[in-house]
Amino acid sequence: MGITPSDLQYFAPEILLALVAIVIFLLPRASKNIPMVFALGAIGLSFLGTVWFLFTGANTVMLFGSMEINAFSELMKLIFLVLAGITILGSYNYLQNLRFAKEYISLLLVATMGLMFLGSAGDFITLFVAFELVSISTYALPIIDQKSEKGKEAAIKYFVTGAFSSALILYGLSLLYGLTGSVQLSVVATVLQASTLQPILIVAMIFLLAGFGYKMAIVPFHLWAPDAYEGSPTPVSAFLAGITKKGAFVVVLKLFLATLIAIKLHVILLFAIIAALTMTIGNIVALVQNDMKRMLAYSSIAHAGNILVGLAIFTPLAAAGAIMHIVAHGLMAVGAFFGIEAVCKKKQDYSLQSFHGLGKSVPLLALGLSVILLSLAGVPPLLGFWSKMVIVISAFEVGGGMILLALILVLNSALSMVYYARLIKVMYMSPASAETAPKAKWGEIVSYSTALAICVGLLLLLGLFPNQLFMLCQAAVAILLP
Amino acid sequence: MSIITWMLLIPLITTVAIFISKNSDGMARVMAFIGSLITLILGIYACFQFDFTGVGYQLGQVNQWFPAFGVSFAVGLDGLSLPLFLLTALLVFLVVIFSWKTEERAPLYFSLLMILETGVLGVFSALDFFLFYIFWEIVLIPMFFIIGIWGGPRRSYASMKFLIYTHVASLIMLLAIGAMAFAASHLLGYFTFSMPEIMGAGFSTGFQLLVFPALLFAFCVKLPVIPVHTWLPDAHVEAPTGGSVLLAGILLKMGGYGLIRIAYMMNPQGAQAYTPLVIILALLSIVYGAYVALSQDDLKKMIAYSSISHMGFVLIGVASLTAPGIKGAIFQMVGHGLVSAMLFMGCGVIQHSCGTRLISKLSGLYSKMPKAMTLFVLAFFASMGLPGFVGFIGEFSVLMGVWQAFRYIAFLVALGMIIAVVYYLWSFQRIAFGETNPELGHIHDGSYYELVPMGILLILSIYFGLQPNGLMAVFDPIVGQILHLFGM
Repeated sequence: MGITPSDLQYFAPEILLALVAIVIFLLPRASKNIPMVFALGAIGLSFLGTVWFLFTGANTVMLFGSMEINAFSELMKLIFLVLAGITILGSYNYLQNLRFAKEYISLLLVATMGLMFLGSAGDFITLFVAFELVSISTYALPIIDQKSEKGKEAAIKYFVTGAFSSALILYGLSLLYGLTGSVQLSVVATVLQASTLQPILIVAMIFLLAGFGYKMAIVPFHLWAPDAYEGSPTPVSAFLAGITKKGAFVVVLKLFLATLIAIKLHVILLFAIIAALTMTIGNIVALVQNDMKRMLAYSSIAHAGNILVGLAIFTPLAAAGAIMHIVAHGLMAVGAFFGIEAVCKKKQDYSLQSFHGLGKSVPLLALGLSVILLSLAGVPPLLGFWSKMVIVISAFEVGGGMILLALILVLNSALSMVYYARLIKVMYMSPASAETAPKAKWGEIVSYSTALAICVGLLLLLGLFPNQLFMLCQAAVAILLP
Repeated sequence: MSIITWMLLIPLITTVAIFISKNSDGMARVMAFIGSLITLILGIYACFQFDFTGVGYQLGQVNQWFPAFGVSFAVGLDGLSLPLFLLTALLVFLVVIFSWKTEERAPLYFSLLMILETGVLGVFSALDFFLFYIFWEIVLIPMFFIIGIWGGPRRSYASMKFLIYTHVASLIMLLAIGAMAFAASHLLGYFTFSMPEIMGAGFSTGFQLLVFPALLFAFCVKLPVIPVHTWLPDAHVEAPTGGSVLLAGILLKMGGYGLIRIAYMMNPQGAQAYTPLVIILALLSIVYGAYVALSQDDLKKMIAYSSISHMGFVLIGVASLTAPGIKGAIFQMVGHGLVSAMLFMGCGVIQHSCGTRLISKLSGLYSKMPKAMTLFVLAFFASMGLPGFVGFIGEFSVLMGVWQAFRYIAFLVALGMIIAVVYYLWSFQRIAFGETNPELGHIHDGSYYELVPMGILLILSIYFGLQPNGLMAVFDPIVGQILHLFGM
């Protein structure tokens, strides 16, 4: 079970990212575009490799069970690579005036690599190290532009809660190790299944839930998220809200669903309550926000609740829906943050007022942003609709209280329509004079618009032809919940 | 590809063409005209292909779309959906003509009309629950924009209210759809969203008792039925004329269609158990709607409340579960589609030439705009159920059905018809005769592009009023099928 050169090929994508990240660090400071080209090239190659492994059905366990390559891990890597690629591409305009451009790019690459390892991790140690790789490399991102005062606040908040939650996770994992005598996920699952329910297991679960709850930004561990997303530069907010947050969901899928299956009933109840709270509080607070970045922050908290509903329902269909929603929300969050940046960058005013009259002055941008917002609200036939609907429909497979949870999701979806539609309404229906209407110089926002366009395109494409993605999600779930 | 698929595609292709045509108002309206005309011609052609005596779906097409989740692209028409399907194609075409002189952001307006046409045509022809739901939701978005961009002073509030209200209703419907799909998968042994297959599953009575209220709520909001009607007066008052015509003419029919096709046909026992509730709701709509219409000063609001009253006939006709009742309900949907479109167009003409719709400010219009007012008064006659017009046939047939099923409740239903005569004649007397209000300034008659669509609708509503047999016969197979489902 050691490692052989033929096993190593499966990590070629990650190794490539690591090497390119190191190379980019060594480039001269003046270079702005070369790091980007390198990074996009590396991500493209890794993407091709991952696609190859996914569709040839690579399935292996190596390094004494600490690394797994299967349909689940490869799908996760694929998702993270696509999202990270869009973010890096979209950051082009942002990097033009940024001193630490190459550091920014290579930190994003390292974080992406960590996320990819998360999908493969087969034991607690790898899981934790991969997770820390993601966290530590993103701690510096909110403050990458040192002039930004808000960035300092965001970075401190993000770092303190992140470090604290890592400690909680580690403590929870150590308790699980003490209980079962193994760090390997599959062994822990078998031991727990055979044993009776012990109080210490509940304690471990609570520690883990709190730790990952911070990372997922679910209620009541969400308070850092709006400040961090609002204060960070918008491309960083996109990365944090759309991508790194999803890493925590991958771990929760692996740890809670696959490993802690012995205490299934307690997990379900807890998840259901937290999901209902997260959706409702996220949406209600988003209703009253005037700062669009903050509104998106709360909306992504609410969407974390939606994903959690899928985990709480706990059937293969629901889990597939949850993975689908991870993809959908990743694309929507990244697209929405970049779209908002394209509109508000010039005035640095992210309030609702800066969107007045966008539909007339920059129609394409308004159209793209509207598609993203409609997808966030769950309007068909966009991807955001399908993922939410798979979760809702799957509730009827279980019945009982889960139907109530689905009802809460559905009502929340209607509630969220209010603030998404408000932004659309402002863009198209509020009159604005020629001076106050937002204007766009394409040169300044070309990368933001491109990122938005890619997200819109993928949401439409996957929304019109959801079958392939759904089958991949089902295959991934089949690995987790055999 | 089936002719239905083409009819769904052509408006979308038109939308793309309008987008490419670079913000030219003239190009946009010509393209919308051509696109909706082709769709209408295809619709008439589909009529000739249709076997009116056949039971079940025709002209259908089924393709796999999302097989892993049991969703397919399935369309087809039967005697219930074909008339509404054609009505949609006709009204959109007429609205394009009526809106010929739209100046503000015309390309956007016409492309939204086209998307709306695809949405409504899709609702009436979809045979897969998810496809149905998707089209159902697609309809909301263009209407939201039409009200919100081209609407009156309170358009912002009205468009949001319309969107949220109807969105909540559709989400409740979605929950019911999910429940039915899973219940059907237990009965059938496989997972599907196909509407004919789920209808054939035969749910248990207990399940139907749970699902029917959810569906009733969802469709009653759309129909709309008092007390969940409050979005409609606001939306109508604020919407531009084209929006109002489509809202009253076809969007309300979506509620009636869903009520018959999904709520009643799939849950017969549930529907029977809730009959008293449905009767109360319908009577509330008929009598209270008419009563509120009586007191309106805004012409458009009066017609909006009269729509609520007329849709109450649909509800009680279906609830009677008799052949004349159900036939009358479907006939009433088609008839109201023609007549309410005419009424709102008339309102639009008055608004356009007088600048106001308030009955208290309008007077003596007959001498100033004789052509428009003649058409308008004939529309009033058609709507109040005067024999010889389409409205009479539907309402009388419903009345017969109600008498057969519930006896003396028919008097309350007839009360709605009587109040309708009062508010129509009274309001017409006030706006048409007497001295012309000098505040109105120069009043001109309606233009040809406004009067021609009204004229076409008038001819159709007189034709179907004098020759109802042809249209009634179309409903025979589907009504037989419904009564068979209810064991009658």
